[in-house]
Amino acid sequence: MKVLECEAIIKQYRLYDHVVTAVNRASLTVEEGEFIAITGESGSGKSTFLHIAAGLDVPDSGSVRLLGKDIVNMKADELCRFRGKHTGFVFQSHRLVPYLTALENILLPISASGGDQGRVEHRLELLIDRLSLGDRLNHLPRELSGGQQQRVAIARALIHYPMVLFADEPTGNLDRKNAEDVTSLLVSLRDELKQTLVIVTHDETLADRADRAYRMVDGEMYVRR
Amino acid sequence: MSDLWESAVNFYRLRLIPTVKRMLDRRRFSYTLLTVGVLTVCAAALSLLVSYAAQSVTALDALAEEYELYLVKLLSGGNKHSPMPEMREVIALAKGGAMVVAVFCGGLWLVLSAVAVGWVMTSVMESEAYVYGLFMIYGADRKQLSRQLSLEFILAGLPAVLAGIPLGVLAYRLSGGSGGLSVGLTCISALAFLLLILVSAAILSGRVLKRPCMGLLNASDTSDLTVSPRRSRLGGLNGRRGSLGSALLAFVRMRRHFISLALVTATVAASAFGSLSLGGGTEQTVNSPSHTFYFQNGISAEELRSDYLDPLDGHAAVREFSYAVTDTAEGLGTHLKLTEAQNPSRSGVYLGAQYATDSIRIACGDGDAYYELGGSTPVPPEFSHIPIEAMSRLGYDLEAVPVGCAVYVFPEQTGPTLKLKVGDHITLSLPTGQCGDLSQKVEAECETVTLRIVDTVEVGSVIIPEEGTELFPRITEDYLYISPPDYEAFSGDDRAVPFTAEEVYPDELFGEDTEDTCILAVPDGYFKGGEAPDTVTVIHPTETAKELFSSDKNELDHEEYFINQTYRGTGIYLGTEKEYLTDPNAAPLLEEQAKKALSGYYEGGDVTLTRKEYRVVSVIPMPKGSKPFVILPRTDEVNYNRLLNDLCALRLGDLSDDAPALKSVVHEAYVLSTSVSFRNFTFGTHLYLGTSLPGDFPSAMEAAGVPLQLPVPTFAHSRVTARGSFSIGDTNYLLAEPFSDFVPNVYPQIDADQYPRLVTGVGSFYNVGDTVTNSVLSAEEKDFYALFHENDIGGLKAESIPMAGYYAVSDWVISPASEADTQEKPPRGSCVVAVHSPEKSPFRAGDTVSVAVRQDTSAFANDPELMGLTGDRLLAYLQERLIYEYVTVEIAAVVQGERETVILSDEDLGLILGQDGIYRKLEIFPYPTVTMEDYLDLHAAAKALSKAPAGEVTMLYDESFITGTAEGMEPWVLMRSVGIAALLLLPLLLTSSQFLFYGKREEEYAILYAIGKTPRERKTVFAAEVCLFFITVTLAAALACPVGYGLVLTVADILGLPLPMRGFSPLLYGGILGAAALSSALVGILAHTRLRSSIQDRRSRS
Repeated sequence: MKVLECEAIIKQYRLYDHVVTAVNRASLTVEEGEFIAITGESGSGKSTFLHIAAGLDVPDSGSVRLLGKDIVNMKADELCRFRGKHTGFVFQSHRLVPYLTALENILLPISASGGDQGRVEHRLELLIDRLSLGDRLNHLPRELSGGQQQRVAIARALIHYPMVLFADEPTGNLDRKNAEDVTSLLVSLRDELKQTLVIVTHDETLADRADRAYRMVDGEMYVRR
Repeated sequence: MSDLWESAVNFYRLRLIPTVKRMLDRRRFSYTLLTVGVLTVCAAALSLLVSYAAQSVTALDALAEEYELYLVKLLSGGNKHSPMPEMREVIALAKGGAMVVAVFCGGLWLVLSAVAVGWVMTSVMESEAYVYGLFMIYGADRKQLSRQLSLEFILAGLPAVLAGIPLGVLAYRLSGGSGGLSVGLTCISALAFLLLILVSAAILSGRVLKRPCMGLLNASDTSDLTVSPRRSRLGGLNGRRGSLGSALLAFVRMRRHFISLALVTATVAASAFGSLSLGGGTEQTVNSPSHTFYFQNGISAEELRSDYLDPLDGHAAVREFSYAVTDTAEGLGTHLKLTEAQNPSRSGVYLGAQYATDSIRIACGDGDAYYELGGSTPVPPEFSHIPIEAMSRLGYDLEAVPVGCAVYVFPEQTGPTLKLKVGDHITLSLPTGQCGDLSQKVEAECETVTLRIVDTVEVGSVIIPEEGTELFPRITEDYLYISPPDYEAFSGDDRAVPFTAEEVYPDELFGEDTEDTCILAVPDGYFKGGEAPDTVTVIHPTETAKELFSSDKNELDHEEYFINQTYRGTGIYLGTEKEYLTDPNAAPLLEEQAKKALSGYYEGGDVTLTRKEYRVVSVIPMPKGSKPFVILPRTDEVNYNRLLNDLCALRLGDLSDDAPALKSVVHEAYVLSTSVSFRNFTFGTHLYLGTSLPGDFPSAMEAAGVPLQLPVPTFAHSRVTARGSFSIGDTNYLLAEPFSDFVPNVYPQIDADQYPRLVTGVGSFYNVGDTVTNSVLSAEEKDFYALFHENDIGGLKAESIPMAGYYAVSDWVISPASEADTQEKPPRGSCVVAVHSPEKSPFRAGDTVSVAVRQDTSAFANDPELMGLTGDRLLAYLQERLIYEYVTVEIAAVVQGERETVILSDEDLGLILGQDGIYRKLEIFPYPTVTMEDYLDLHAAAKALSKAPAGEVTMLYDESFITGTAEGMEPWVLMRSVGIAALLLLPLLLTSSQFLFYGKREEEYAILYAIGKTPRERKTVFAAEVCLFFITVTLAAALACPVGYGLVLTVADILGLPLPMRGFSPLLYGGILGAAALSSALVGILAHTRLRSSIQDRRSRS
């Protein structure tokens, strides 16, 4: 089953008197349970592409079908609800809410969509266990290390059983050890949860462990392997 | 139910608690505090507005109410001039002024509140934008977030409302405002304020959340405030170095922030300056009395202009002045004699005072006409007013009045009003037209009857049928009796029967059979439509009436017990239809009862009760079988309310026990009608008690009362104010307004709990038409018109008084020129006549008019002989003593004018007035902008003027009523409060602005730290930025104050609003600039402290 179909995505930015093409006719198809890695140099358009694929941004042209739905032409509020139900997103800078505890941050997708917390109790226990956050749940983000904060962000992205997890350089802000831990964690979670995973990364180790890897150069998408 | 509970729990757990937690979070708390602070100030100012508006309206309504009472008192004292229209106008003006102030200040505050609330809400939302972005990524849609934001702001608004509204009321009180807090209005304003918050939150959140998720996520830095150097014309700053250079670079790159900051500051400062200037100007205007001078003798218009007015024109304190030369001619008893040709309709040329009874001047004969006030009633000089009756209930042999003759009857106490002798001829007239312009119709369609006086009768002193018994009424007015055929021919009233008895009173000597015979003898046709035969008022044929009158001396019922004469009476009708007082002792027993009832109210002597026939002025259909018992207390010495209270407590049962003549004890009482009216509408307070009502109420009482089933006798007392009369078909109505209903604390016995069926309202329409049965009133129904005299009006019923019931104009206002006139005046010996209606007053150029003023006005001021004179004797007295010296002038021109005026030259007026000069009035209105020094200077100048050698000058301060009212309302309190509230808002808004700004720039300063800038260097950069912030704020305020001042002036000028601004006050200007500068400095320091603590926090964490 095709989970994500991106077709000829173009995204341009107007910068004063000239136009910058961030994504240039990039296409990507992801099957259910696949682990896709997109690499590329800074400014190559990979993050922009990921934002478009995840419905966080709108392309100038091209189509994006996520779980069979055309999310480009979806109404804004409907897209929010669809995204909240079916996708998870991990940022390079974890983007935790500073005045919420780790647990509250993890449960943010549930409270944001007005869902029932009881529904995710099992998932919560699993994630806390797998991410080793048991003793940090009542801490505020500023009381956590960078690795812990990113693990909280990963838990937040997975708590609501998303069909697809998008991650934008999840290890970019971490030291080597923490980066390896997070990489292992994502891969094992993917295996364990049969999670579809689309990751933008500089981390070659992580890219090597993907089912398929793509490379973006000047906004164009190339198959790496 | 469980679903509901679950929803509530979910709301509490998932929405309320997290929201409160978020608001109280350390990073958010400052914004929460700021939000609450701004909303509190806004709510407090709203509360001020509400307090002011409520207080103004309440105060003015109370004033109107008090004035109504005052008016009633005034009119009941015999005054005829009602200042109510002017008063209403004044109150309406004052209300209008209050509303202008409230609406203007409200509008100003609304703008300011919208700016403040919008600013602080935007600040809070911007500081949290990336959180909203996260929420949107994880499924929260915009509606959810908007609801969430609304909840946050409502939670901030609740304490703001709770604190702000009492604060506003307190501020209003402390500022000198008065009046209570209206709970209803307060609740409404609180709800309105919360609604405003909701609407603002909805609009602003919609604007903030419109951005895509990534835009929101990236809004945590200053990228949204930064203008690219590519767009900046000041891009050369890039190369600047040092602290100032960095600060300038940031200032220019982030000018979007500083521009909006300047705009907000300017709005607030302009509002504050405008409001405070307005408040100062209003207070000064209201509290600055204007000066009024009256110049007299020897000051010509030219002198007035050159010596007094021109210098005033340039005086620093004088806003405007006006002078008039007409007003003081009033009250001099001036008189204008015109020929009938000049005024064929004999309409009045009324100028100045409306009437003046003490200066009647009738010029008889030779075509001279006597002109009445109002111009609607022509009054031939031979006429005076008397009521005319075809019949009389007097014991006089009416049939002795031959056809073509009249009998003149006058009261014993006052004597005859007219000097009529036996053999004199009199002429009566009756207008045949209905209403409309009476004056026109009388002339065209008048029918006159000339009669010869055959007799004059002095009632009460001439005819005494039987010694010791006064059976004749003490009439208070003159009557003219004519024969029935004459009356019929004259009035055209075929109902004018030969004999009309007002009421039929069975004699004690008659048995029941006779009584029945008497009643049955009345043909059905004589009963008036709808009137039940069981009422005591019937019309009898001649023969029956003759019999009855022959036994008048034996009447027992319809007795009246009275103490002195009064306009108030309490009538108690007892018994049933045929239970007339058959016991000869009944009357004395009733008298005794009345004495007992009344004795407690008269101190220092016995009660003297005199029997006297009671003339029922207004015959009111009674409950079946009622009888009258009338008590007329001496109201000048009796506490009337107390008396009524005690009468109320008087048990009817007791009365009947002591009065064996009564056949039954009445246990149920019915309040039928109560009324007291004033002026000529006097009826009294009536108390009717009866057994039961047979069916419906009498038609005459349809709106006056309701049956009241009480175990003991009681009474209802209320008063009505008669407003006029009108007729529908053949029925006359008196238009009445109740102004006093039951007051529980005055009449504790009557309260709604005890007597739930009691209805205290009095109907607006009081039907009196069907109660008229005597010949006087039947003539009145035909709009009978006879000339009358002031003092006779009191004897007439209200509905019988011709509407043009005024007379005698003598206080003509004769103007030498129109007010403040600089145009050419009529030359000596001529005049200009201003007429309202050329058709009614066909003056022509070339005609002459004779003008006079009563020369000996002062002689009448304390003339003891004048006191007590009324009617014709007063007239004769005045005619003998008044001296008019006419000056004849030629009419130079006739012009159209609202007020009919004869405009003379100064010289002629002086000649007529007997003065060298004329009265001139000068009013000076000071500027609201004057300084106290200017004002004192004006005051000194005014004093100097008052001693001017050229003539006598009287100086007055104008303490007008409106001034007093305005002082009471103190609108400047409101204006100043708005200004102060605006100033309070300024630091709050600046704080929210700078907290957000530096919150976003935290990273930037952390970098300064990271790249090795020393604390001193960082402080320098920050200080430079604070200086730029300080300059921006101060400059915005400095520019905005004059703009705000000019804007308020312009708006007030364009819309013509009564909003006086004080002068541009440098002190106030400096104060606001100082406040803005101080606020910006403090906010800068606060922002720096917060930034430093934040960076230190980051350091400790890293």
